[in-house]
Amino acid sequence: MKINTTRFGELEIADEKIINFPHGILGFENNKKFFLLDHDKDNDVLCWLQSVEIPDLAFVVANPARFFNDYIYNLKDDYLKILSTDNAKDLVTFIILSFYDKGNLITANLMAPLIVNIEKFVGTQAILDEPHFTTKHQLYPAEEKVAAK
Amino acid sequence: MLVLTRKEGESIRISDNIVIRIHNIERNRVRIAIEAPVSIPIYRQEVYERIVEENKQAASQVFLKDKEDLLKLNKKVGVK
Repeated sequence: MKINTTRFGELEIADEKIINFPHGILGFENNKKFFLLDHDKDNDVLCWLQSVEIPDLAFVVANPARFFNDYIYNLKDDYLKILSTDNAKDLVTFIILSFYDKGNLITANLMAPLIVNIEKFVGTQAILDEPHFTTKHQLYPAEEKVAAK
Repeated sequence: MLVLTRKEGESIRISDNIVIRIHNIERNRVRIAIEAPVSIPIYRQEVYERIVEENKQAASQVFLKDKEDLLKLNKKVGVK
């Protein structure tokens, strides 16, 4: 399907690449459909999660393993039901990034990652019950990174 | 707004599929048990607000205008 985006112009995206977020993303609950842009699973640093419905709605997301070595969490059964799997191998975690000072300070939301079932292309934003994860962990500059312990 | 008084162990039913039960009451704290379908997300209000705020911040990256800008950022954060 053709999708109009503010940043990337009109894109042709295969229907099966569209990820359904049945609960949306918090604050944007009316938007259920997104797709990953520039996502290379072997070499992913940052990529875009673009809304199908809203041309200028896009998040920069990242593979947390690239930045936070000990990002380990338990996922509640309710989220597994939404994601319709009980196999962690189907799931990929993305952290949403926020940028300050034109990208000279980048933070990651470790408290509420996006979790996607890559087999069924369904995703959800999970709120983790891990008190040491906050919505703003410094990701860049790396030397001052707050350890995600 | 509807305001109801309930005692410990009593419940409120919302529609045919949500039950909110007063689990126990301490001096300034109430524990509430909620039964609802998975399709209805339940959040602590302040946590919900914090995450909405963070998502809105994340979604407003007007300085990132195109793919090139993200590639530049990739290099910046990817190089250790």
